[in-house]
Amino acid sequence: MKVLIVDDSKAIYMMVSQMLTEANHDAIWAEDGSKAIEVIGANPDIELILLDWNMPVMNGPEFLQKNLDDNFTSVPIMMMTTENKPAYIKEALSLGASEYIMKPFTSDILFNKIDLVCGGF
Amino acid sequence: MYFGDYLLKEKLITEDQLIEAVSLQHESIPSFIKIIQKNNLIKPSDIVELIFKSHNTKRDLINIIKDEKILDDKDLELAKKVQAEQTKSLGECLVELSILDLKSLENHLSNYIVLKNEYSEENLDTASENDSLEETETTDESDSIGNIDLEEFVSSEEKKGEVVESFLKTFDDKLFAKLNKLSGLLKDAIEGDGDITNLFSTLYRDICILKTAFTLVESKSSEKIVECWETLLENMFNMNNEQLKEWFGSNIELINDSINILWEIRSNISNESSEQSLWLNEDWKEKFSNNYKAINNIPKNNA
Repeated sequence: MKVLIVDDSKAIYMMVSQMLTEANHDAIWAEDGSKAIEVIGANPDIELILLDWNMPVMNGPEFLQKNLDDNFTSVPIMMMTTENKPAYIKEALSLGASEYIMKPFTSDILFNKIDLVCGGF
Repeated sequence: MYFGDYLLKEKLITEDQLIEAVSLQHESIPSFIKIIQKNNLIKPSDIVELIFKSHNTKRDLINIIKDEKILDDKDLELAKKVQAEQTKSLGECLVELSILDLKSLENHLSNYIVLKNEYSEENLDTASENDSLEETETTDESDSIGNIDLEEFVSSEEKKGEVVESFLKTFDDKLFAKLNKLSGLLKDAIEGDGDITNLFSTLYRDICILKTAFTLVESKSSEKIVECWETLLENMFNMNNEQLKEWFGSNIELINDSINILWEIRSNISNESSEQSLWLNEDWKEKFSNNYKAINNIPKNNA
């Protein structure tokens, strides 16, 4: 599975990317929402997007809103955030995110959530 | 002066009786969302968006509808009028609670109108007779979770095709399977050393989706169950992993039962466009009522 990691932190990208590649998935990176739109356009085989909440240029909610407006991808989007509050979860949900994962997370929880989102059960 | 004030002043009812009647009146206020949906004033998909917006911004639905001109003034007034018409009057509530009988209500009402005419600077027209009975604003969206009375849970009407379709699409096999999988993961995490905090946020998210789905089809029974879980979970966001582990250890089976009950209701709506026939089954009533009571017995201030 090809997974797009959208996060302005290269360290997070490296960490998540390692988890994914160890499980034989491919990871590609975009450092903000705006770049992610370009990467999605060039990679139609992306099957999952892991999206950070706070980023420069275009943050996670702005990216989701843009997708609601322009519908440039129907790939499941999992929000990655340090915020654990009902309002954040509801906002992500209302903007079309398929799942919500709180950082820091282990590979177990990441793959459990991927399983929940992609319906591999 | 409201009719309730008059009754109190004349010592025709006690304060406790007025509170009881006003509470009943408040409970009778139909959901504004349901009215705009039933009257096809707004598309189901827009209703979902509206519900989320209201949740997220903590703004009143009416204000969002007004500010964002989701309904024009004519439709908004129509919806408010329907809501007011469907709300019980204070007099009806007093009679229903056997605080007053019909005859004495009529007498008190006549005396009240005479009194109001005498002291009011404005003339009381015939239409305001009904207005004067109203003690509460009729734009409140909240539905109370009162003592269990199964009659109040039954949604008898068949739902429109488009609404049912939207509901079935939201609470589909995939979401049901996901909830079961999630429950299994939570059990594993309770027994092992898993990250319950992260699983808990997924459960909360899915409960929010279920709430939206059941609100669409006006399934009161399901809404009550889902609202109970939503309230409980919202109070748990400050808990650490160990506290969550303990909480889920005690309540995971109850969550499973609720998921299965909600799925049964969903199946019935799918087959018959209504949950009504379920409520003819005594075993079902008992199962539902046991689950609902048990959820309500879970302490709400866990954090």
